Parts: sequence; structure tokens; C-alpha cells
Amino acid sequence: MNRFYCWIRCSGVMVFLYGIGCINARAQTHDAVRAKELDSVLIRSGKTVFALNATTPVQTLSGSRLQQLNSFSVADALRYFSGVQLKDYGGIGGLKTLNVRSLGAQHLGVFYDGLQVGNAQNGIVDLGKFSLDNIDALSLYNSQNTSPLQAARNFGSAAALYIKSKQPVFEPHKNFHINGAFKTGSFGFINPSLHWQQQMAANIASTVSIETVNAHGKYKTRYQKRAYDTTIVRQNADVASQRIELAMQDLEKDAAINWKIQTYFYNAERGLPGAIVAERFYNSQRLWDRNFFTQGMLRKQFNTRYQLLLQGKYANDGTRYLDTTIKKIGGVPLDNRYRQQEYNASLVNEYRVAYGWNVSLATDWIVNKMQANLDNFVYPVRNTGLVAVVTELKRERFTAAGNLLGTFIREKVRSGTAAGDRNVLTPAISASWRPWDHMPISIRSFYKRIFRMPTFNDLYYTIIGSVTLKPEYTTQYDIGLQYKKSFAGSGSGIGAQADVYYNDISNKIIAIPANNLFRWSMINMGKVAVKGMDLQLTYAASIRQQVFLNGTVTYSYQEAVNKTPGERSYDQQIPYAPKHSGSATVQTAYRNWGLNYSFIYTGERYMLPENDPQNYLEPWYTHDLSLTKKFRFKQAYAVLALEVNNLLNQYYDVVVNYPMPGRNYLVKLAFKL
Amino acid sequence: MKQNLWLPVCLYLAGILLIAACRKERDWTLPPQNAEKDTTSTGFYFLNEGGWGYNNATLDYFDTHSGVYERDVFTKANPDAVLGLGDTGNDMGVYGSKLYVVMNWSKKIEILDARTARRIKVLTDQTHKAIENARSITFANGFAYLSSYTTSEKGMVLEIDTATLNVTRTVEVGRQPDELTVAGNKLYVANSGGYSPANLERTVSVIDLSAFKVIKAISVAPNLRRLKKDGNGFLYICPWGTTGKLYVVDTKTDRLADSINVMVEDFTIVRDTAYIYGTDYGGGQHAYTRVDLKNKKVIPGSFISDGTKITMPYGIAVDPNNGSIYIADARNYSEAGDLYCFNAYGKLKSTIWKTGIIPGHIAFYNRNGSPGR
Repeated sequence: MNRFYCWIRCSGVMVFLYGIGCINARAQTHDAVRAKELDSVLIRSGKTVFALNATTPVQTLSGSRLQQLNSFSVADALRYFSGVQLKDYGGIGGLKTLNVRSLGAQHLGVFYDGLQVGNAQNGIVDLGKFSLDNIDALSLYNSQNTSPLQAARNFGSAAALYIKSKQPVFEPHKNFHINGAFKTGSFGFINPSLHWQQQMAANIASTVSIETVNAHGKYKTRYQKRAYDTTIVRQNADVASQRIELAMQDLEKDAAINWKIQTYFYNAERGLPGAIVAERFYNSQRLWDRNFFTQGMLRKQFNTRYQLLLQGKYANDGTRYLDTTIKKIGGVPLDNRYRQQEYNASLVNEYRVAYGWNVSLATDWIVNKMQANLDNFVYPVRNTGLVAVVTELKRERFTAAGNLLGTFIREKVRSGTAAGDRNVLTPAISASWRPWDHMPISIRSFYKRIFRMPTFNDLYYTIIGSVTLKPEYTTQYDIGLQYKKSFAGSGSGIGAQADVYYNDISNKIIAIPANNLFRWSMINMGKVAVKGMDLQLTYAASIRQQVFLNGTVTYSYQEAVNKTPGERSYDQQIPYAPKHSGSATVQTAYRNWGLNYSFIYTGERYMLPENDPQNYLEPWYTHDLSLTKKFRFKQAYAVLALEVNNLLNQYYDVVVNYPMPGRNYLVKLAFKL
Repeated sequence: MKQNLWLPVCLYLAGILLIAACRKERDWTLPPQNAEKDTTSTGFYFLNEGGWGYNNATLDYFDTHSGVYERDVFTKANPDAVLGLGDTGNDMGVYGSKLYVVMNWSKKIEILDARTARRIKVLTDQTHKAIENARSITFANGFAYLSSYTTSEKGMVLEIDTATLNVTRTVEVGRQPDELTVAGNKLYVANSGGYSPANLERTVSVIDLSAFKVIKAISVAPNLRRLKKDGNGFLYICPWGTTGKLYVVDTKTDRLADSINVMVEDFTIVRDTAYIYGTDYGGGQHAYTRVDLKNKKVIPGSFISDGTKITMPYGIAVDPNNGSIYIADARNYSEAGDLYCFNAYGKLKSTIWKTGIIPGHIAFYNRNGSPGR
């Protein structure tokens, strides 16, 4: 069974655990109290799970545990992982990106159903765009997912986020599933969504998922000092977005042939409320986004040893940025339009050398194009060839994986000089070992060296000379422990992961403001060293099979220091990296009721490189609470949820001068047919 | 078994309470620094522009007489100013007993009592819409003149009466006007047109001060920024970014009269000498050159004679009292800057380490002079 495509069906309610968790989940499905405790199954089976033989640290949120977190989007849910910082510009429509172990947001690869969501323009994927309503699981890998049956590109980022959409599984007597939800609350938030899965033939299913989000986005924020106390309403923070997804797929995951095609369309208009500074509490800039992609995969098993995975993707993205306070010649406002296309094809050959030992050869070809209506724009085209040789060896108590990735990049521009050719070979190795049979403890370690290419913005949207920019390299070393124990019969269990790591970032690409507001110099100069530790504890418990409980505690320590020679802030903590951060969640269920609590803490930070008092940012922490009640009408379910976020109404900024909302509320009504 | 299950819950609830208790209010006030005393001079205000969007522009004062460098005098004198001095301090000047600070992104002009730094009046975009995106300020005949990019296509020059502190007249000039100066009864402003890189402006607008109307546009070069005058009726102009030419306009004829080959980003004029620096962003190669304005000739060699290394020169001023040359170092634009003081022979005299972020503007003023004038 290939673990990447393995899905488990458990109990009467359709709850799916992400592949790597299946070993763990299997034990829980055979529960004597299944029928009686149907309603509680959600909470028990949705706990964070990990496989003891994973060679790279992975954190997964799936099923009900994911759904019951107080979150508007994928971005919010990721805050509960350890070792990450969500960079959040605030509000429903604010840009949200994830920085894993202080490597920088551009080093995170975001994979939607196995294929990367690219952005050659700025290397950033806004995670606030992805709704949780059609998501089964979120998995965050430090380094990479080591499975050999993947595109070469999946080995090409320093950390990887896998977003897995809901998979259709049908019971014998029923050939459809309809899920609907309506959410409303603070910020004028209105969010209806519908998810419909239909069994078209014995082994073919179609999925339609649609959603809209509307919000005026206004919220109050308060600035207090000894001599003043001002309350400001955040303006121009509205958002209106629509999302449609269609999928068609083969239901037999483990058959010799399996395929899936899907299409994603997202359209949004939003205000950019900007930084709040003295005398400027309102900004009028607007942003339009349009993202479209269509992707397909075909896996064919030729014999017991050889299988082939073919994947293809076409993406077309458009962005429009409007600033009416800037008037160009003729009085026309600054109205920048950017378009990007990406063509991506991947072929993976996997060969089973022996039982538990797979090797693969993955070859990808990616074309990125960009157009913009900027003065003197160069219309870059990037051709990327990727070749990965991957191997994974699994023994009962030992797992090892490794790959060598070759990246070959050629760029062309319509005028001026294009960036030079790049031919780079980067390795990654990882292993896990379980020393004792009787002790559920394993030790793991990984090493990975990878780079990110300068983005089109870095290279071409700036002053001449940037085309000489070198890729930004990251080197990661990690050693960790895993422990997992489940107490038979009671349905309780605990799990723990602890990792210490060292990251090194060199040739960090830094923007230097140059001639005027629109021309920045990009240079390679930064060097950052990160020493850190991630801890994660999960547990699940039941009390007399009546009250079900699960929770997580995470803690991260990071010493991310600037190692750029000649800088005054040498050896000081880099901006926005807290030394201490953590989160805690408790989810409880009793009969049809659920009560969930979550807490997030980010310790003191500095907004600029020098760790001086004027750059100091206070720690912040939020408490979120939600209450859910489930109703059952024959074959249908309905869930009503009430959420209170930022219960103590703390005013805080994640990004300096981009205030976050105070206490806010959300009501959610979901049904399942 | 049951206790075991509740234990973790209690544990982390306790933990949460613990960390929740450690959010401490910190009000930072930096202690004054001591730098080298210099009794041949008095002192100056020093404006640090701050990072864009960071709201961390700061106004400092260096009392050269006592050698005390005081950080952030604005916040100390005006604790009730909401969110402080604000964002992107683009220019400042002392005229009479008042200090005018042009806050570009914060859309305001702070008019302060120059002796105490206490706020007298704030002009905002409520006062006049063109205060939004204001750039540079100059003074003449009891008036302050302010250039602004505005939010319209054409920029503007505003006239502010320094007695009533009201905007009295305005005039539309070229696109994105920067530095300006008054010579005789005419006001000259350098237009950049920087918002349209494919269609840059290349003129200096000439405004007749009696009528407050543009009477001429002198064609100079694309993307003009710096514009300063000498004592003999000549204007010296250079474009945005470091370029190889300093252009000379004769105000008697209002024509481009000459150009001097010199690497120039910014400069200051003292009597018949221009002190110029040029910089290449990121490369670390800077030029510090003097030009003899009488003969329009470059004086060979660097005016920094001792080889002092400056990371990113961002502002220059020469003390009229003793000829000391001040150069502000913006370093990497995110670390605190430094201020170097050279004597008239180009030898490093003293350094003030750690000013504010992106230091750039100096206005000489004696805070200890006779009050009220």
C-alpha cells in the first residue's frame, strides 16, 4: 500500500485521516462503542497523528480536529503548529504567510493535492485564500515529504505544506454527499459554502465545491500611551471572494490505475488597509486577485515492482493593484496589472527494488511567464528542469530516505539582460530508527540543502544589476525523538515529538531602498543562523466513554540571529522571530456537545534587526473558545458552532502597525446530507 | 488513571496563566548620549526619516556646546501627540523661532517651537489636501514654501505665512516636484515625474512670487530632485539617484548655463564651495567631492582625507559656525544610523553612534540662545 494515497474510512461518520496517520488510526476504528458514541467519534479520530517511522518532522491537522479549531482559513489553523510564525497583516482579507523555523516565507512550498502552488512573481502564497471547508488535512513537513512517488518539485523547498482536499468515499447504499455551511459574525462576515460529492459510476466520483466570502472587514483597534488613548476603526479592509472547485476522480485508490483531474478558480477583490501611522489611519489601495489552475494526475502500476505517476498543471494568475493617490502622466492612477502563467509537467518512475525499498526517478518541467503593464517591464520567461533521484528504505525498525535534486534554470527576457543560467545539485537525507521493540520511541534526523531562486520581482522589477542575484541557500540539520503510546481499550493515548535543529541561510536576498519609492536595489548579503527546538505533545483521552478529550501543546524555542558580517546587529535576534512561542488546544466532547479552547502565544520580538528598546514588540497571546452542538435528523446532521476569538480583547500586531482584530465572534451552521 | 488524564489539562492551564502574566508595558526613553564637545558651535536638530510604514521617524538634538546628544526630543516634548512624530520625515528647516518638520507618509507638517520642540501647530491634509505627500520646504521673506507630490497628476507649491501659520497661496507645478529654493523674487522647484518612469519630467519650474504663477519651465535633465543655490545667483541641480552631472542654472537668464562632471547624490553649499557625495547602492563605492562654484571646477581628491568608511551616506551638512562637515550614515536602512563629524580639513573629529533609523536632515539652531528673540 502506498502511504501517500492511503486513506482510511473509519466508523459510521466519514472521517479521513491523512495517509501518514493511517497506521495509528487503524487501531481506533475497531471500537466497541461505535454506534452508541457515534457523535463522539469525530473528536477521537481527528486527533493529531504521526507515524513513528517518519524520517522528517511532520505535523498534521485533520478531520474534526481541524474543523473544530477556531479558524477562518488554512492560515489560522497553521498557527497551532510548532516551529512556525504566521505573518498576518490582520483581518479577514489581510495577507497571511507562513515562516517555518525562521527560514523565510518564500522557502515554504505549498502543495495543493500534491502539486505545488507556484508564484514566480514574489514567491509567496497567501494562505488566507484557502478555505477550510473543503480541506481534509494539513500537513507541514520540515524539509520534505520523503515519499518517492512524488514530483521532483516536491523535494525543492526547505519546508512543505500539503493541503489535501476532501476525498470522496461512499457507503454502499448512498452515492452522494452534500455538505453545506453558513458562517457569519464580526467584520460583516458572510460565508456560505457548498460541497457536493457524487458517485457517477462504480469507481468514478465528481466533486463540486463552491464558496463565497464577503466582509466589510472593519474592526476597532486602540492606541494607548500615557498621554493619549485613541480608538481607530480599521477601514478599507473589506473583501469579497468567490471560489469554485471541480474534481473528477477514480475512487479506487489502490487499483492498478488511479487518476484525478481538478480545477480551481478563485477571484477576490479587497481593500489594503495599510500600516497605521501618525495622521494616516486610512489607506485607499485596492487589490484584485484571480487564480486559476487545472491539474491532473494518473498513476499506473505496471507490475508489482514498477509504477508510474504522471502529473500536469496549468495555472493562470492575475493581480491588479490600484492606488488612486498616485497619479501618473495624464492623471491616470497607478493601476498595475500582473499576469502569470505556469505550465508544469511531471513524470515519476518508481521501482521497488525489494520489499520496503523503493527508488524513483522524477523529472519535472516548469515554465513560468509573467507580464505586467509596468514601464520598462521585461516580460521574463523561466524554464525550470528538475530531476530527482529518490530512494526510501523501510525496515521494521529503521527507515531511511534520500534524494539528489538537480535544478536547471534558463531565463529569457524581452529586453535587457536575463538572469544567468543555473545548474544546481542539492541533496537531502533523512533516517529514523526505533532502537527497542518494546518501547514506542524512535530517533530521527535529517539534513537538507536547498535554495530558492530570486523571484521575478527580485530580478526584474528593480534597478539594473539585480539580475546578478544569486539563489538564497538554506541548510538544515535536525535531530529529534518521537514517542507514541496508546492505552488499549480506553481510546486514550499520548504522543510527543521533540526536535532540535540548526538552520543556516546564506546569500539572503535583501531589498535596499534606492533611488525612489519604486526602485529598490536587491542584493545578496544576509546570513542568518537559527538554532532551535520544537516540542509537540498530543494526547487523547476518554472518561468512562462519556467525555472525550484531546489536546495539543506545542512549544518552540528559536535563536535566529543575524550573521551578516559588518552589521551592528550581528549576533542579534532577527526581526519578527520570537525566542519563545507556543500554542495549546483542548477539544472536549460530551454527547452532542463540544467545547474547544485554544491558546496561542508569541513571545517578545523586535521589528528591526537591532534588539534595542525602540524596536521591541510586546508578546501577544490570544484565547479562543468555541461551543458546538450537533443535531441529527435521520440521515442528516447539522452542527451549530459559536466561536469567540481573542476572548480577552487584546490589541496586538503580528506585523508592526498592522493591528489585529480584538474580540470577535463567529456563528457557523453546517449540515451534512 | 483518571488523575493522569486531567493532569496535562491542569498543567497547561497553569502554564498559560504563567506566560499570560508576562506582557509588560515598556515605555522606552533613550538616555542622552555624550559626544565630543565643541565650543566653536552651538547645536542642531537632526531628523531621522524612519522606515516606511514603521512610524519611527525621530527628531534628535545635538548640543555641540555641551556635547549632549538627545534622542527623540519630539516625543519627550509632545507626549500627547498621537502615535508620535510619525512616518517618513522628508525634510525640515528652522525659520525664525520655529522648526518645520515635513512628514511625508504621515501627511503633516509639524510646526514646533525651535527652543523646546513643543508643538505650535500641525498642518495636515485637513488643512490643505496637498499636505498629503509633501516633500521639501524652504523659507523666504516671512513665508515658508512647501513642495508636494499631491494626490493629483501635477504637484504643487504651497505658501505658508510664518506669522499666522496658514496656507496663503498655492500654485500647480510639474509632476512630483522635489527640492525648491527662492532666488530674488522667483521660486525654483525641481520636477521629477518619478511616478511615470517612461515619461519623466525634465524641467525646473520658475514661479514669480508676486503673482505666485509659473512663468517658465527650464529644461535641465530627466527626473530632477536636488536643487540648491549659491550666493551668486546660480542654481545647482541633480536628478534622482547618483548621477555623473551637476547642472548649473543661471537665475539671471533662467537658462541651463553649465554642467559639472561629478558623481552626485546630494550636496550642500557653503559660500563658494559645494560639498558633494555620490553613492552606488550596495557596492560600497562612494565619492566625496568639493566643487569650487566660482570657477565651476571640481577640487581634486576626496574631502574626507582620513579614509573614514561610511556605509551609506544619506545626508550632508556643513556647520556655518566652524566649517565642520557632518555626514549621516543610514547603514542598511534598518539599523540605527550614525553621524560622522569631520573638521574642515576632512579629518574625523567625532562620531555619534546609533542615531535613529535612516538619518538624513540637519537644521542648525542654538536651543540655548536668547529666548523669544
